[in-house]
Amino acid sequence: MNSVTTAQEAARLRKRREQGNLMFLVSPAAFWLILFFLVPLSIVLVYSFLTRGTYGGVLPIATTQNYAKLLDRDYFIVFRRSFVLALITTLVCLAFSYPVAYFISRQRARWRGLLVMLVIVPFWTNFLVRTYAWAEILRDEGVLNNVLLGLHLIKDHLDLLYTPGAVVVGLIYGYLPFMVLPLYANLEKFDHALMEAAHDSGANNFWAFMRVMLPLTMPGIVAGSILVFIPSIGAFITSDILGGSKAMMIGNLIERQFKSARNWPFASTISITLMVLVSIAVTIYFRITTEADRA
Amino acid sequence: MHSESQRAPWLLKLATAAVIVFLHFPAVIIILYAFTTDDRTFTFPPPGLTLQWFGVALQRSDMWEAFGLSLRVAVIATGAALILGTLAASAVHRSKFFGREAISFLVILPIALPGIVTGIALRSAMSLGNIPFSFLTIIIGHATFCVVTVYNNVIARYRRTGKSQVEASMDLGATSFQTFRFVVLPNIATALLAGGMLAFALSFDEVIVTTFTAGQQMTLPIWIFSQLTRPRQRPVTNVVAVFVLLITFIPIIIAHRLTQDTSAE
Repeated sequence: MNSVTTAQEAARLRKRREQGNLMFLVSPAAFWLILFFLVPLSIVLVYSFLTRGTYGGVLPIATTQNYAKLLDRDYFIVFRRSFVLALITTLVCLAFSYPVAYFISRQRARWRGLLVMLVIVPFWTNFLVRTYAWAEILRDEGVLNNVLLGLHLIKDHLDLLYTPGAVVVGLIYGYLPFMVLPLYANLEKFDHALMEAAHDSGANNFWAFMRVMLPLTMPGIVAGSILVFIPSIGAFITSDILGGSKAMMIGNLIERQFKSARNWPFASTISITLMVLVSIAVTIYFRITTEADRA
Repeated sequence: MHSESQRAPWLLKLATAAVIVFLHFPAVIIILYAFTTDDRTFTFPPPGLTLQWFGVALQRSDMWEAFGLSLRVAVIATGAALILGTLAASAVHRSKFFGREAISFLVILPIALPGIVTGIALRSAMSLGNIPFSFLTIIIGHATFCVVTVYNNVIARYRRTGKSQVEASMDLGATSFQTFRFVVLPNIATALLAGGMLAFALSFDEVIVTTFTAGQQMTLPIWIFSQLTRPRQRPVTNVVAVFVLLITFIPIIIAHRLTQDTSAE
């Protein structure tokens, strides 16, 4: 009896102390992120409904015109291009990553670690430098053109750089690891005996894959796709360096409106729209990963 | 995928090899053209190899200044991220409180949102609050998106170690500080190191947000960015690029080792 009461007492004490600690623990990060992230974002939200001043400032006159302007052909094209390029990037990444992730998951532990590291390392090394490398490869006087010319495969330089194609290559290159890793995490846990069971029950490779492996790895596919799609649609550096003005994406449009055109309200409007698109994707991702955690 | 046929594994092997080559070959190009004797075009193979660009790069005082700034920013932003990330992770792991989901969402959001949006948001806030560009404004921007690496690493570690040790320590009358110092910290030390390394790399590499918070100051990536539009002495940019690759590569390898070791336990 006595020991039970002490245990209950201790638990109650612990709970009370933890309540106090909790505030101390959460406050700094919450404070920091609210002050330096949420407040600035709210300013952008407010600016998106305000009017541009004659000399670039922001006038406190409410308007929804900035949002109406998004439908202008010039701007709509940029949104459509960003969406299409991000979608192509995601699909190509998926097509390449699935076999790669599958292959890695079937290796011995030692090899798995090494292969995973080979996929991770470039993703963590400088993104700007790696994108700039593609500019060196694709430019008129660049590596690829010089190799093709040297092999007499082409007669004249190909215009590779500053095209939507160059941007897609850069995006795939930049975000491929985002697809491989969740797929790998999923496939590593996959019980391959299930495939044998499917075969034994008369399914051929195709149907065993479609009915067993594909549904069971769907969380990895969705997670990977979203992780590739989000940074692709919000790309700035890749499209700036590899696309130039011919393949401008939403990110570059925001920068131009903000810096060159000095139209902060419209830049804010585009940003908010982009954020809404991204938030939808993030929310889906969050749902899926937390469900996977609970399972 | 089609394990029964003989050719399939070869196809898989080929696909994997192709993808890994694709992921690494651009870095090889950067390294190769840091040694070329050709300073404008990228003839393949390079007409000759030289070390002269390393000498030229070392004498560029603007490069050194940018490097110094990047290093200071990365160290301080990492420090801030370590504190904020560890505290938040401890709270979220420990109990289910109101706003728990909101905190994890808030921590992840800065890295999930496009950098350009974070950039103009900070710039607008600074302009509204009449805050001039400074060393501090760069750090604020960086720490915001660095918290997540520490937070994720620490919370993953907490999930593996469970709550029982902390509860035992508290039940035995240890203060919160004692519990943290002698029970929690030794458990999460490598996770902190790994998260810190990743935060450092993240900060050291950042370009977009920094272009909105730095004003005239140049971090090393911004220096490289500014060099891209200048066609002269391209190999010098490559030399610096190689240097940047190495500086982030080393912490990443260490971080990877640290997380690998613990998952193998």
